[in-house]
Amino acid sequence: MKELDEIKSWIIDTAQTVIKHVIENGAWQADVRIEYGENYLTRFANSQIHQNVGETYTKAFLRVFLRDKRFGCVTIISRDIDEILKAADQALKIAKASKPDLFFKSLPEPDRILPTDRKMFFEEMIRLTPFDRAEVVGKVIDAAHEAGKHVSAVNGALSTVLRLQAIANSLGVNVFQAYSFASLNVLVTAKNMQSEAEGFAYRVSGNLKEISAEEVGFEAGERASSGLDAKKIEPGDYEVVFLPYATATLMFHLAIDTSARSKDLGVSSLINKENKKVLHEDISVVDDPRSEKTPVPLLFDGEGVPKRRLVLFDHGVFKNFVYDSYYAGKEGKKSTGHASFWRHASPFPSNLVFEPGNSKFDDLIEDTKNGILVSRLHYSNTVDPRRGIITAMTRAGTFKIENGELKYSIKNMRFTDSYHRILNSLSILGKDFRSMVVRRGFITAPSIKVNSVKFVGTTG
Amino acid sequence: MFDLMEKAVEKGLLLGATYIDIRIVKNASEEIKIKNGAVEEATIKTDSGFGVRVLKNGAWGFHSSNKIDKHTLDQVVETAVKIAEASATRSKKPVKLAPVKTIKDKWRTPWIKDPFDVPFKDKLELFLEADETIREQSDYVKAGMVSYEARKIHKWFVSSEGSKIEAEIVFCGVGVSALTAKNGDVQRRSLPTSFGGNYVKRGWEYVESLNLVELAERVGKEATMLLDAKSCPSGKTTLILDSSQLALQIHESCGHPSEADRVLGTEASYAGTSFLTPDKLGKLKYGSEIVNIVMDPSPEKYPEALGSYKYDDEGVPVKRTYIVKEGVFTGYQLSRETAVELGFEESNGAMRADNWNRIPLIRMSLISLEPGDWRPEEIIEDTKDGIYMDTNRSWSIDDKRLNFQFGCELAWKIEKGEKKELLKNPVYQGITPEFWGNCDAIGKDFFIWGIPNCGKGEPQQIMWVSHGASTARFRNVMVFSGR
Ligand SMILES: [Zn+2]
Repeated sequence: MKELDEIKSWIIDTAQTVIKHVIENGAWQADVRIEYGENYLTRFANSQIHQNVGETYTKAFLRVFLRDKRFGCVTIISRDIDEILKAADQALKIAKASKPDLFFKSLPEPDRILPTDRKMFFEEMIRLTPFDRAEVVGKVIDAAHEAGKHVSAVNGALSTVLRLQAIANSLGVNVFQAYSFASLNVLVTAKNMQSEAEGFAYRVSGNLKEISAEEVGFEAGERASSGLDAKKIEPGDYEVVFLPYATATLMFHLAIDTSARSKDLGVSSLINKENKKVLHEDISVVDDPRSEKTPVPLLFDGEGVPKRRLVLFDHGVFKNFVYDSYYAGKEGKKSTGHASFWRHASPFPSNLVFEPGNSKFDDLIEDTKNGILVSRLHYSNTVDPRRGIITAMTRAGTFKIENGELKYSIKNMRFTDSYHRILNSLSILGKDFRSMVVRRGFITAPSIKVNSVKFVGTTG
Repeated sequence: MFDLMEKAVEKGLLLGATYIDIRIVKNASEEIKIKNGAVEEATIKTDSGFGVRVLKNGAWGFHSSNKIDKHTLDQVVETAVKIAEASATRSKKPVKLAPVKTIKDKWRTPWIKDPFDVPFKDKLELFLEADETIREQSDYVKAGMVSYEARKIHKWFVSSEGSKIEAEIVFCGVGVSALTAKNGDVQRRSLPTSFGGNYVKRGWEYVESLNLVELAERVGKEATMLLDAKSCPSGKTTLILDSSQLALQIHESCGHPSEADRVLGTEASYAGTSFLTPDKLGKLKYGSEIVNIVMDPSPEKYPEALGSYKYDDEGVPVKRTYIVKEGVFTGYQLSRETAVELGFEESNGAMRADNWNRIPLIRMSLISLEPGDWRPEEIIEDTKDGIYMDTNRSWSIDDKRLNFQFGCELAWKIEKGEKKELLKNPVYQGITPEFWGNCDAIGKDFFIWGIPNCGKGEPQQIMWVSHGASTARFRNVMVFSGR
């Protein structure tokens, strides 16, 4: 702890020193974010640990703007103040050689950070040893094997993250936050004489203690076991029940479309859709660091702008794009607190929550006449950005549902369809939800039952 | 530098490590992005640090730090050893490494003009002119974009087996693209290729050799033409791919599935596994008889290829390996550990890490489809009815690398041996061995494409790889419109 306290003062002081240095040397405005991080990741495959890695780093990202709106950026990984100041001089040099970007208005002014009563940093996360991580992984592996006799390999990764962040700008922003989280992904393979199947489970939490290794291992193991002897079905239009892991992937594509950068580039499917009903009326999506459904509350964005609850979709009606100060300035708006941490002008939601409903998971299955249960999506990609058309493969648990019952396992399928169309055909919102780490934020989503998804292919 | 590293290696051995290697890496990169006349990104990144990989009790441990001094090195070695001990508590089979020669060498890539010595102003001037040219092409151009990146890497490798290798690497690349919009339709055109352009292990002279402004004019014009093009029809047809799209096809459907770590299941939880299982080696008909795919990263032959190098990050000299020979699946990309597991005598040198804070993984290097003897025009003249597709726009492939779907920026309808009509939103889909099995013509217009952004592993690593490819024809492929 003592060491982390020292690091905390060092990054806060260094941020101030850097800003002072560039202002004295001709910058009109400047901001800097400095992060100290400790990341550990224990990876397992074939039911044993095969990669086990760690890193500690101190990284700074500095932007300087001249009065005529020329700017330059530098990123440096270093704990040496002289090196950092040298990099700062380089940023000034770039700015002086650059061309004005008149769309840039100003960096944000300081604003009151709203407090949170949730804990962001758990001391016990600092004290974790490699043996603690190996023990958790061991529990996952054992639980997965106990889930079924055909379980042949348990694979996945346990990651623990500590971050200390200081952000300062020349207009007086000077903020600090520290947070921790752990994430665990598990992919289990089951095998019998004639077939092979996969099952997936995932958890993320501010504190590793909150994750039940046994539960995650068992969930993935059970799903893999019941996926054996998959049949091939014809592609076509089916009803679908998406588990939260799969819904989160749909939300990732939606999140990209809510970025003011996508709007500015003309590649968002939400352009000209503000205050219009885009999705089913039961769908509400917010970006809210204070929601108890998001795993880690982030207090401010990459520019130190306080994060507040922002409604993205209200009962299917699209309400807001997310902005950083650059795109906000360009459109004459106020930043919504969504600046990226390591990139200039690249806003993105960071505590996105697709509000769950009230239905039990069984109700979703019972509602389905001729459909498919999709546990997870793999390798999704945009096909037509303006129409929200994406393609993805199902993976790690795809099952046929007939007349309200889970019937049998099926081979992975590919869909190519518009997520607007899919989410417009919502019929039931589940009450169970899960969160995933996405970029430098979190996406939370429930299970959903939709009436129509167009599948275009299947694996052999 | 080597002294400091050798002392740390000794320390690791004293702590009971049976193998240890240390890499120090110093990086500089410069990224410039222009969008609609504005500088969207002008970032210089510098970082340096070291990573320590140890084997103890038959299991791996790795730790790293950006503070390069004796004290931190010692601390990091200690932690790496502890991590290995922890790994061993949940490992079933001790790791064995295939033998490797002791190497003492220094090598570098062949740049002439160091990109970091070229004044920022000169670069900017060229890129702004290109961007302006894109937007001059029509009123429908919504965005002109230029992206450029250069990177300089200096690295040192020392292993407990006595190898000491120093390498200096410079690469850079540039691309222009136009986004056009009309009546809610958006089209994109990029050159030399999409997603950031083409990359080579050369200096600024590469950027100068491309006529960027001419490419800019073309993307602006073609993206505008695409707005009024018809959508790609649906159905099974003959498909001709340009070499840049074919490079990506090789990458996704041959490169990734022949990575030995995927085959052995160690990437299962993230990217997936592979259909190229060991029982298929030497037996599976991967493609038609004219399909030869070879891994050949040696800088002697193609020093400028983005994926070429002399030694990998385990200190193994690279070895030319056929992955597909006359249509039959014949080889893997290997590490020292997977070579032993799969019964090979030695690694062919495919292990690379994207930085000091990451472990080496099996990564593609230069993996190419050997050229055929057709002129590209001959392939078209010889095609009665089909679709020609050019430049990747979207990609997706399943976890075993069998079912794929690729979208391209543009297509041409081929009728009676002629490019008849421009088509937009083309997409094709297939199953890997079926698709390559239907390859019946390969051009001699062999070109090496450099891809700077292949993702793999947890934590994710972004690697620079390359693929040689030519125009090629495939029969009976499902195509449709992505609209
Ligand atoms: Zn790749």
